[in-house]
Amino acid sequence: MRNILAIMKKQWKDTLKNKPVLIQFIIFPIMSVIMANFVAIPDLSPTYFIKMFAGMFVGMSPLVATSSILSEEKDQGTLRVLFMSNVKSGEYLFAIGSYVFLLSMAGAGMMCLAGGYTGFDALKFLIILALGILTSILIGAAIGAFSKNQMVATSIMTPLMMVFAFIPMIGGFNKQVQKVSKVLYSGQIDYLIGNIEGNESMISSLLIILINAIIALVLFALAYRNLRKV
Amino acid sequence: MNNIIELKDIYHSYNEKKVLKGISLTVKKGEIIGLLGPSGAGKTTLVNILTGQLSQTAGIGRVLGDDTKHISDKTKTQIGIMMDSFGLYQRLTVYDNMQLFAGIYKVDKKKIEETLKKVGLYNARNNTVSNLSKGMRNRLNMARAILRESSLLFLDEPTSGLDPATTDFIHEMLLEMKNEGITIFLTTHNMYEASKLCDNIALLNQGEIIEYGNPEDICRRHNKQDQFTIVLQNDETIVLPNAPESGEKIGNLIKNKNVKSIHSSEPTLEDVFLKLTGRKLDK
Repeated sequence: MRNILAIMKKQWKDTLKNKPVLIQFIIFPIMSVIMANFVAIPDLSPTYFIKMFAGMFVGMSPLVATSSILSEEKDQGTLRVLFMSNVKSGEYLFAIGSYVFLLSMAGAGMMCLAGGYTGFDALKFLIILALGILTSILIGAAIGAFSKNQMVATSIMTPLMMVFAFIPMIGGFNKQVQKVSKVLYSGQIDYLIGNIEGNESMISSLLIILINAIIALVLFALAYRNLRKV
Repeated sequence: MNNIIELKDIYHSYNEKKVLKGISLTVKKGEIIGLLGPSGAGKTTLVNILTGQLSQTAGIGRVLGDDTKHISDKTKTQIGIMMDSFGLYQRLTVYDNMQLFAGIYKVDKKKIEETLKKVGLYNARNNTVSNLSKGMRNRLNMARAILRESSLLFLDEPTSGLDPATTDFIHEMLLEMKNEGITIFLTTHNMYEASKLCDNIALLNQGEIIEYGNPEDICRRHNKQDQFTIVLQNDETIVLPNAPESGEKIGNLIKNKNVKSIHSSEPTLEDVFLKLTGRKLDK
């Protein structure tokens, strides 16, 4: 536990000075607050922008942050130093994963408040985003663990992030793209948030998210052994 | 425990390539051992085996009493490592870098301050690592390695690329640590450093130890010329054999205050390495 807390504390200090990672955590929540409060478009639901940004936030931020942190640590040799200092790879991943999860959930909380969700709807909103964030963290960890350095990580992460963040949005305008969006966890998150006030069954969506998470977990397990080779 | 490191017939291969070929070595408590060899000689592989980051293909290795293939967490806490690549958090301050490892090593704030003072970085504790000079980063790396009370330190090229003042500073610190009973395993290209610091050195070439012993003994062993070079006050140089008949001649030169300096003709470690392998150490 001590190692986990030490790494989380280090990561907090590092993130405050690491603009590319910091911006991942704040850009979408801040944009949501601004759009929800200062942009009024007639006939548009007050939560329209919240719903749009929430899906993008989930598909992009935790994935980019996790893979950036991991690949940078590998690149700079700091991960090797941590492992040689008796930090277990599981402890490290748990610390970074928890850290990204907590910061992402803070952003999700901000979006929830900006959207004016209360009671059960607020709980549903946060749970849905939490599921998406966890899946994104697993994918980000798999990319970070698999990549030899930051350049490789960026070249894998950028197209994936674009797919997860933008396909659900584009799917709203194109039926073919929508078919793809339906099998992506971010597409289902987008769908669930879009229908948060309704009483439709969430089971099929949750199942698809679970399958995405399992695939991410398998990929991560395959990449995990790479971490010890740093 | 008197023997801190014991290696017997250590072999290691990457795919088909044999990197280490039957390394045997014993390092006693409080000793500074130098591992010298050119790039690709197998130094890093050996250090990785000794620090539990790699398992040897064959042979028996023990570090602080533990099998090198299964170094316990308790033993790992007694090992300090300073690698050639820095492995420092560039955006964090000197103090924050130390604080992270203090948290992992379970040492208190006071120890961080003591260590930073010891390596001369206390006044730079709030500086960001990316703004430090190479010498200061090396000191920070050293500070991290000695932050916990290690009984065995692995130092990979600790003074590589440093200015003479920082190099001397680090040498003094290492000798101080040796006096405190800490065993130091040093890998270096630097012959002067090895001669100055090490009780024993192992010359490694293509995965084999080709010479081992005290630096002075090694040089003496390879002194085949067995003669003295005498520089006279008028800068004339004469060479005399190391034989009884030279005694009177040397005595007379000294009596007549004719001698500026007397040198034996022992080769340097660099010469020995060149003679044994046909190549220079830094190649």
